[in-house]
Amino acid sequence: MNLSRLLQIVSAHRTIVWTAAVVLFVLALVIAIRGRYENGIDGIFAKGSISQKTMALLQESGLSDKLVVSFRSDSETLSAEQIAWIDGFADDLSEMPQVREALFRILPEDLGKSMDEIVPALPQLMPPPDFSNPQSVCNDVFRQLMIPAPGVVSFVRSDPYGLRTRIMERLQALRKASGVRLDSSKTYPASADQRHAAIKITLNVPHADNAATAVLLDEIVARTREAPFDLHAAVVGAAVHTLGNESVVKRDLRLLGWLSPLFLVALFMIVFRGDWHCVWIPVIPLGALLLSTAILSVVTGGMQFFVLGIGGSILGLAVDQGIHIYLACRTIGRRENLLALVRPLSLAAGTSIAVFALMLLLKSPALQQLGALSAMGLLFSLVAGFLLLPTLVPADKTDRPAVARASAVRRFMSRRNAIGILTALSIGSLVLCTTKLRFEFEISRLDGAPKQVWEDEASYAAAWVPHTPPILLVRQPDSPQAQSLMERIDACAPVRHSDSWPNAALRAENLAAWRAIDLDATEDSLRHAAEAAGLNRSDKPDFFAPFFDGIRDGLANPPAEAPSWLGTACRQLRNGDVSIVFLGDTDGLENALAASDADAVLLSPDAFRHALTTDFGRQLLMLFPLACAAVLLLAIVILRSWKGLLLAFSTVFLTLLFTCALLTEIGRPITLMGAVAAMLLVGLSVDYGVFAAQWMKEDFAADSTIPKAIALSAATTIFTSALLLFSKHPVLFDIGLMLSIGISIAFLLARFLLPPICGKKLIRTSAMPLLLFVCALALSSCATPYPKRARMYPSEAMREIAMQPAPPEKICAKVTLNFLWIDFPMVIASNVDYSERVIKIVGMTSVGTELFHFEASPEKVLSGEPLPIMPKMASKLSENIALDMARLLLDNRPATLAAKYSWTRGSLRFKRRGQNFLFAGNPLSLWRKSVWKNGLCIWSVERLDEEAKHWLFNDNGNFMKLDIEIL
Amino acid sequence: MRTFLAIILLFATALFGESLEEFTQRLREKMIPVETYNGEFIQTRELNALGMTLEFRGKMLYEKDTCSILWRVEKPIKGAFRIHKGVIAHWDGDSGKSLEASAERYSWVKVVQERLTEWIKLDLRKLEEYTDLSMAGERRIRAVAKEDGILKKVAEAIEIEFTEDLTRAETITIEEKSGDKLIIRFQEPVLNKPLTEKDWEF
Repeated sequence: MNLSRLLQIVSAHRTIVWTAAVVLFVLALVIAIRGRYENGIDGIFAKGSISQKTMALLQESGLSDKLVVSFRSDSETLSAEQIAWIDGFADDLSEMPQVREALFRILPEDLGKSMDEIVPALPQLMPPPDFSNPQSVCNDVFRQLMIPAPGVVSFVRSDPYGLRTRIMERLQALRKASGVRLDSSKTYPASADQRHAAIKITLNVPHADNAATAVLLDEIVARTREAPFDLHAAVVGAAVHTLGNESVVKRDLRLLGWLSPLFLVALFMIVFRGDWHCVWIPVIPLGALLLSTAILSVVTGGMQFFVLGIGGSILGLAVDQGIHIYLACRTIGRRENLLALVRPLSLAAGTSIAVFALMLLLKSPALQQLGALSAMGLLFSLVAGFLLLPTLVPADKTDRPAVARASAVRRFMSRRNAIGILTALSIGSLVLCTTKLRFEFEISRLDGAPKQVWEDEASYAAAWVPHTPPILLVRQPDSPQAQSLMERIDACAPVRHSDSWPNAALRAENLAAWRAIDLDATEDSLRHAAEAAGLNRSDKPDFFAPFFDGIRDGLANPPAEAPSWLGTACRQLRNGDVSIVFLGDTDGLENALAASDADAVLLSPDAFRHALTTDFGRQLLMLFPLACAAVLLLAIVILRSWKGLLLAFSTVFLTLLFTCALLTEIGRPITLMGAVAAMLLVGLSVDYGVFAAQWMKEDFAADSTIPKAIALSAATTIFTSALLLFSKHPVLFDIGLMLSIGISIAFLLARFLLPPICGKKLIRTSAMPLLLFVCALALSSCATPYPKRARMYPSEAMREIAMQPAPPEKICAKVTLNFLWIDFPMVIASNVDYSERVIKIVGMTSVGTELFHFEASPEKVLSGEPLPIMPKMASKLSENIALDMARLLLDNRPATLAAKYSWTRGSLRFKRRGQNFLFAGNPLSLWRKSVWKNGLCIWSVERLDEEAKHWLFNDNGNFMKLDIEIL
Repeated sequence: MRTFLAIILLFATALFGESLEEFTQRLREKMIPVETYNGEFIQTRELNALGMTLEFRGKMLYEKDTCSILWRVEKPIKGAFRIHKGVIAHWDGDSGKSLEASAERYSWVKVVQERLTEWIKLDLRKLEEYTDLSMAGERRIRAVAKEDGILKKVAEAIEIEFTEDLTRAETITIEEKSGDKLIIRFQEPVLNKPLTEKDWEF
């Protein structure tokens, strides 16, 4: 059956067709309203991709189920009344069904008791200490007893060997690695400035249950507003972002939902001089889109909100078909006009549908939905347009021109001018794109949470976590693969769950070692030493009984869980099967992860960027040639003209080129969603090329309806895309920006620039004012939802570094070596040979007695020795001093710095072979440097004053500290 | 140290039979405002569980402006404990070895610093936050730890005895939760004589 016959049948049974259409519309409306919609960004990521794996592990780790209610006091410190109120609030939160745990008191009220809890756990936490020198132990205890503070006695009685101090060191390392600044004197989470406290909430609701989370958040916000005593609260967490995104997208959708149809109707009423039949033009695509939404909401079980948002643009695209059909219906020769439209309109719609349908090949559920919604919407709209619109729009018997005529004579564009303009633009764009085009595939570009959420988060970070470290999430951390990975990344200084509470095998090993000790004999020897030191009398109870009783208790009944001091840390570092590992460094991590079979992902802005670039870059690279091939195939089949093909493809290619160039020129990067929109642009811009080719067949006749239809359809599409620029959500904004600019350029090319080149004709610029207005609206009326980013200035930075004066060749320094409980003051004299990369160094006591002399490079001690009088341990330390000085003096020279770095907030950070550098100040100078090796910070050095005379060496790995003052 | 004196003034008015208010009023009138303190001490630890007493003798320096304390023990061992310029240092006089730790890096040091300076400063305002004050003798005031106060974690009460002329505190007794007692007796202090950097050396 041909179209002519079909149109006759539909026209004859128009009432039945209209009724069926209305029923279908209402049904679709009901289904769409009752459908389920989602907002989680995890729906954007492709199945099996790094991003999706990261999100999955993130959820499994429990990090995304956490909320933090951070309280800030207006006073200098939180008062007892404020703390009491927070205590009560935490209790109330615990009772809420959406909350699994509301943790405020992280330590027992009785700190003494909680410290005593550690003693029975010691045999599992660490191997036994050296028991061979009880006299030394007693001397140390005596020195601690002289401190005029209460509680010292019970403290040393239960821990004569200082084992708890080592545990505290582990916690300190964890705290340092996690970046959280806490005041550990409190039994609740208190910030270092003592003005903030926090309740940590673990949600008890499924990840996707936004409604339940919203109820909880509303309750928290309402309650915290009632907080007395000048206490301010902010809620921070992944769920807040999810809900924030949802509210923003919903607001955007409401705005777009009203503005799009209103504008289109207003535009048509103006252009078509009050002909009310033009109202049907947007109604049909709207119905088609609604039907597609209903089908998808049923099929997918949960559509992404932002896909609906882009529906507005699809509406603008589908309306184009209606415009062409309407114009054909309202001009003389209605049936012929309609039949003549079938081929170009099918090709135009077919190319777009093909591109959108290809998106189904992507593994990202959200992009699949977008492709399906768009393809179905366009298809339904095309069919309904051809079948329904002619029955709704009668022929215009008054022979009135359907489209407003150009009001005045416009300037003309010659072929020569068009070629010149096009060449200049092409060269300029190519230069811009090859030199300055930026891609920013960052996850924050997908997050449209409201400003308040970001402000709360920034305020929280300032008070609690000034520097977030990279985090590694490892599934099944005790598996051989995970253990192997941990060994490989030792240089990244990982702090993990097992550092606080060893795994079962290591606990058993420690326990066995303790059980092999003759505890009674050890206790006896310590008792005798205590009696000799005057700490004990033979007729009195044993001074160290609390320690030995605790150890015996721990050996007889080993605690199954970590003591409370460590338990909190343990809970933070492991959730079910997933371990959370904080990293001090990420050097070499990428290779280690790639070579490992362990189920692990890295969480950091860099890692996310890399994952998104890899995942989406791969998909887009695959899809782009496919889209071009599909468009080409359709064009060949329908256009059957090489010139037409050239015209259509020139439109697509130049549109992409000019769009990227324009975005670059206005300082905008290509974001992830921008790249997706660029792919849509291929399908959309080819339509304009196809219509230009069709117009070319008519020899670019000035009275053709095609240029008017192109102008009008461009206006509708551009406007509906430009409406997205009013979105607060960056996903919608990015897509709107790319499409509105791209379609504007495609229109200008197809309407004004390419036809003169192909047809040697003079073209009137009839719709230029309207287009200029829309373009101006698109480009200037909306503010970007995210802040401007710092630019990179590598050459300036290199010049600054080069200005650094070379360090002196002779150095004299006062050094204090601090090792455990001992301080060694000494004077260092050093001769530095920069060309050979060797230093000669002599260490002396403060009165000039030589302690050691060495020749050392940054890698090793070449020669020399300590004086024989130095104990063995001290001689090793003196070698370390020589090495440290060699590294400091030789490796800080600018010439040895790597060329890869970024310019950030006036300071410069980069890494080179395990060394971290921070340059700051004006002119730039080395501010901080640390060296990591075998998982330990070998040393770090930090400028302490403006003159850079004082440096602090801090050897965390050995609990050793060097204070160095350059004399 | 004004606070030091204020507290001592507060307590110095404690004549037998006087009310706390009258005693604190007399303290205010008679107490010498202390900027620096340089004097000897006898520190006695009564170990309840062991039925033993340990005695330490030495010298104490205090400077209000810098909130610095030097606690140097001469007998029975030689050693010192110092809080100065944000660093806590521990010195072993026998070996000459010392340890320094900053409050910034070791949060527990910060706790020790706060508590210790609080006891020695006798900051009445702070003391009243977590204790109930009462008279315990003619020149003696008793501060009993409140149930929900910070002191309750480590001690039951503190007693402060003032000199006869109420110009300064003479003895501080801290009754620990374990039943132990920490008694510090101050002797022959020199008040408000400027201290030099050398005085702070071990």
